[in-house]
Amino acid sequence: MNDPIIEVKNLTKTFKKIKKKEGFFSSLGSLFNRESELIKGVDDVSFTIQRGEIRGLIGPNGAGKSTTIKMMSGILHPTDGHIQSLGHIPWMEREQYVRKLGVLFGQKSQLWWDLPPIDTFALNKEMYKIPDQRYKERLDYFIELLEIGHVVHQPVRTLSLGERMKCELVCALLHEPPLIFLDEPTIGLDIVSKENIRAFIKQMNKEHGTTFLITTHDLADLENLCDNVTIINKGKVVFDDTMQNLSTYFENSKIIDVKFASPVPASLLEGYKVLESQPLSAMIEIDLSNQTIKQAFSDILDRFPVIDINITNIPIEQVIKHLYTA
Amino acid sequence: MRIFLKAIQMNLKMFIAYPKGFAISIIIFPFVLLLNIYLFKSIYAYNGTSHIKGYDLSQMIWYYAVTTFVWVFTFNFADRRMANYILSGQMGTMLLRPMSLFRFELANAIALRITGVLFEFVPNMIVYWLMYPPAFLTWTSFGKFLAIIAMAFCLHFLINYLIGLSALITQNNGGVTAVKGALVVLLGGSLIPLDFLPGWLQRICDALPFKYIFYEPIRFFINHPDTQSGSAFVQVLLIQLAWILGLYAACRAVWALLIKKVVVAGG
Repeated sequence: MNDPIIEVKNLTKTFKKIKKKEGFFSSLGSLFNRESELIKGVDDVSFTIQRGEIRGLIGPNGAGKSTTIKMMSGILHPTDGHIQSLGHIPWMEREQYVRKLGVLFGQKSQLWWDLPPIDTFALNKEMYKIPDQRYKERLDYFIELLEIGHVVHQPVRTLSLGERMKCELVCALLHEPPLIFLDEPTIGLDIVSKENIRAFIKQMNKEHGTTFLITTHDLADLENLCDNVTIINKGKVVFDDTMQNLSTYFENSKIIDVKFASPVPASLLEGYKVLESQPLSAMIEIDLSNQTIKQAFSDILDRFPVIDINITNIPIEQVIKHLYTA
Repeated sequence: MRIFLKAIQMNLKMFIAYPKGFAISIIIFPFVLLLNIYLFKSIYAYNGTSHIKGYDLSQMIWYYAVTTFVWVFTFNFADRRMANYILSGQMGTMLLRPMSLFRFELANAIALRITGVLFEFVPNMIVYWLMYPPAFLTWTSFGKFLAIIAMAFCLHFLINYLIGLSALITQNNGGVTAVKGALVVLLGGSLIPLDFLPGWLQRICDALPFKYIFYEPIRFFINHPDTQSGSAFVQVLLIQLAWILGLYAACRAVWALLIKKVVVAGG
């Protein structure tokens, strides 16, 4: 399958940051003499998203995820580099482009605060020129799927975060865009609401072939939704591959969980990379770069009174932590 | 066009969502008129004249009443709204709409003013009429006023929008807004009729757009003798039009220049 919907090439965005010094007088001084430095918020980022994919875009705080999304949605002009999305250069033909695009920023609201969501939907209907019949069908469909029948007629300011986020989703999807960017769609939500929203995203992807790009700090979002994941750290792409390959990122390391029949003194475990140990159990990380798994296994079986043994990959959190701090 | 109607409808709903503030303004304004009636009655009586600078008593009292009408017809928050978009990062959401920010803000301003005219101008006009009948008012003068005030609205909106755009560089345009406010009040003629200003200051006012937002519409409303000829009417309209075209071109140019530098913070 090679049908790219977005191609990002060597994208770079530099920000001018003004150094603020401490103290009132130096603040005054900074009015006349400002020191500034250039910071690369996004540094030579390239990746491609295929049509019909759900792509995760993750990274630590301040890594440049949102800035990347903003450039991809045409809000920001990049300092350098190129984006081709849905056949448009986002920031050049912004008005035509955003017509085909749905965007949700989890931390911003596009609903009118003082009015019920239904009014914002109606305004979007006019802005995106959605035909009456289609609008009604879509709205009924979303209301049923997200179970928001009772909230769409209440002023937005009285809604809970979860209810509001569902309405924000409707806003982003009402005009049937083939491409949707969700920037932290599950931020601050409880487990049930998160699951509702995930199920909804999955269903839209399956039934309508909608392409999603999702940024999140919740690994469950990644594991449940994404086929592929791009990890950004300090403005650079540090990983761009399938979820499968992320979970086997440390292919030369495994974690072995062993239970002992009788207490094992800590001294016996010396020489192993022990992650966790108790008298009757231990969690050991083994390195397979200079031994086979068979060797490692029989070594452990020989040395300890093993009654149970489990072997697993390095957990995905570990991999991500490693990539974030690298 | 339907988007404008929708925006008007939504602003009406917002207006109705908070009815108390509106009720207060309806009650307060007649008191202001009452104060002006007593103030100018005593001023005219003290001077023992029927006209001051070409204004008779009822025209002078109504000058100040119409000042509030001009606010009702032309007021908009475009400058402050845009500064807020920049400071809060809401600019991002604005730019995601398949509509230019200019058109969105214009729709909003028009909607806001239509609500204002319906809920503030109409009731206040009736109350004022009952309190101090405007003997000078004719259908023609009122019609001319409507044409002039529509142009004044565009002018006021464009000035505010341009100041709003300045927030793209300064982030916080509170200072510029305050200066504009002072200029509008002093040199626009909403504090005192411009006829009372010294000649050289009046020349400066002629060269600025502010008098075409306040002073001229007010004079057309109170049917000042200078405004009764057809040529005066056309002349003011043309000057307003020139300002509107110039400011619109400036808005377009500034937007094209600055949009590349927009920083959308947060999120």
